[in-house]
Amino acid sequence: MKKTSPFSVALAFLVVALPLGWGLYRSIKNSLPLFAARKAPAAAPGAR
Amino acid sequence: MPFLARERTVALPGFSRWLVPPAAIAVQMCVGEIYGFSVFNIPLTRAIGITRSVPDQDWTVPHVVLATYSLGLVMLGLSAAFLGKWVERVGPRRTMFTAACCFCSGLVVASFGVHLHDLFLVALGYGGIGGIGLGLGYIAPVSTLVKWFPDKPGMATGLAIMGFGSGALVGAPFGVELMGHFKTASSVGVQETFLVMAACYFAMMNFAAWIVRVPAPDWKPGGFIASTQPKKLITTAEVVADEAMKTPQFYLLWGVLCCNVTAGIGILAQASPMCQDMFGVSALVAGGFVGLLSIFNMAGRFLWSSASDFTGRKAIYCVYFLLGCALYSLIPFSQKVNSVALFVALTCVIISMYGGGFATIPAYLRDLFGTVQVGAIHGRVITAWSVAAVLGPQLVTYLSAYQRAHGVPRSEAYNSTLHIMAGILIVGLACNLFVRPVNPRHHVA
Repeated sequence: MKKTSPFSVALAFLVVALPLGWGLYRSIKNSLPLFAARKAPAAAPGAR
Repeated sequence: MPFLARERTVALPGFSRWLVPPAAIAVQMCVGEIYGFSVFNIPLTRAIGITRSVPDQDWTVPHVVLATYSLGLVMLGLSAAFLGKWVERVGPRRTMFTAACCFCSGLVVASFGVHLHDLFLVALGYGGIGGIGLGLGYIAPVSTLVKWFPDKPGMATGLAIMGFGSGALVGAPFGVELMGHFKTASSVGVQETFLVMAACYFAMMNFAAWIVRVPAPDWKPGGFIASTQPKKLITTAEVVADEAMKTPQFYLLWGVLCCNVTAGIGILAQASPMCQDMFGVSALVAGGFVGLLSIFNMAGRFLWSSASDFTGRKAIYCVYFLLGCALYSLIPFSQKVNSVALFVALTCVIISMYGGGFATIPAYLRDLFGTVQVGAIHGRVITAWSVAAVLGPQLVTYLSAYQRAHGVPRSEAYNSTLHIMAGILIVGLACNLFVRPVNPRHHVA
């Protein structure tokens, strides 16, 4: 019986974790202005 | 090709089932790119004018969205519904390979369409051929993981469908980077970007097809003992797809998914303008908010679905609907007190439950109908997604526009829509509460 090596499992997870981690980093970086944003007044009634 | 045959994918003793989740996530991450397709909308409307859209020559955003995103999602639902039984018969490797061929050749055809500036070719490529790849790539990993994790079906489907949610997180910035690289004075860079994406996604999806396996028929996880005390809503019997469609449970779960997705996708599709209109934040800040929602959408798929292994599927959907209803009703309050933080917190939890609803449905189907054709049944149920993908954004867009046209301030124009969304969740709750075990006359003899 040939057992799957834990290294193969780790490598397979790494293949998907690398692009996922990069995407996550980019999204978190882009969302930071949301928390730094100063509250702007809401649009005036009837404004388009 | 014999390598793709189902018999060749049956795992030998000693195979680790933990090799299957990365395969599932890899395929779902690639086809989930459709969630991030909006980054191509503006460049595609400037394919001729380059720096600006040329009226009567360049395409418009609605045309591009219809030819790509909308058509792709409709084809996803149709191919998942009609090819589900084929997926179960030929196994995940052939399905993943076919999904890779369809999705990536679709990108190549779309690239050719951009080169010739022919929207029909773009639609045929990305929406049509690519959409078939989307459907196949969506259902194959889910049904495979459900069979590998009979002890943790919620976690398994959560992992697979989390991959689809992550598609936008990876695909959108990847597309932006590539377009930036290929952009010249005479090209917006979309055509070359599609070709590079096709090559990368083809490699990734075939990596998944290479490592995926199905369990041997008599296989059980080590130490797993099936519960001796039968649970009311978890069957040990099997129901085939055609028979499942004769049961009220199929339609109730269709309604559950449709209501959950309609409410969530309405927010997701309009997140940026909603945030700008309600709080007056800039487009850049609103863009960051959309990215944050994508993270919660992805995380919710895994966390909520895994939690359903402990709470039961019916109970977790009651949480999605009741908590979702309460949170939707609170959003107008966040606008009233002008609290962006409260708005962000409320919408992030709502979107996490939207993702959770998506991810929990295959496990719910497995509980009620067994595993024998769960992929095919799932394929038919996700036509609810296609309906909701049209219904949700239209509700938010048109009702808020109607409110504004009748003198309601822009910042308050979403309030009544949000209350309608809360009402839709109550309908979903009712569907969920009516779910009962499947009548044994539908079971496979």
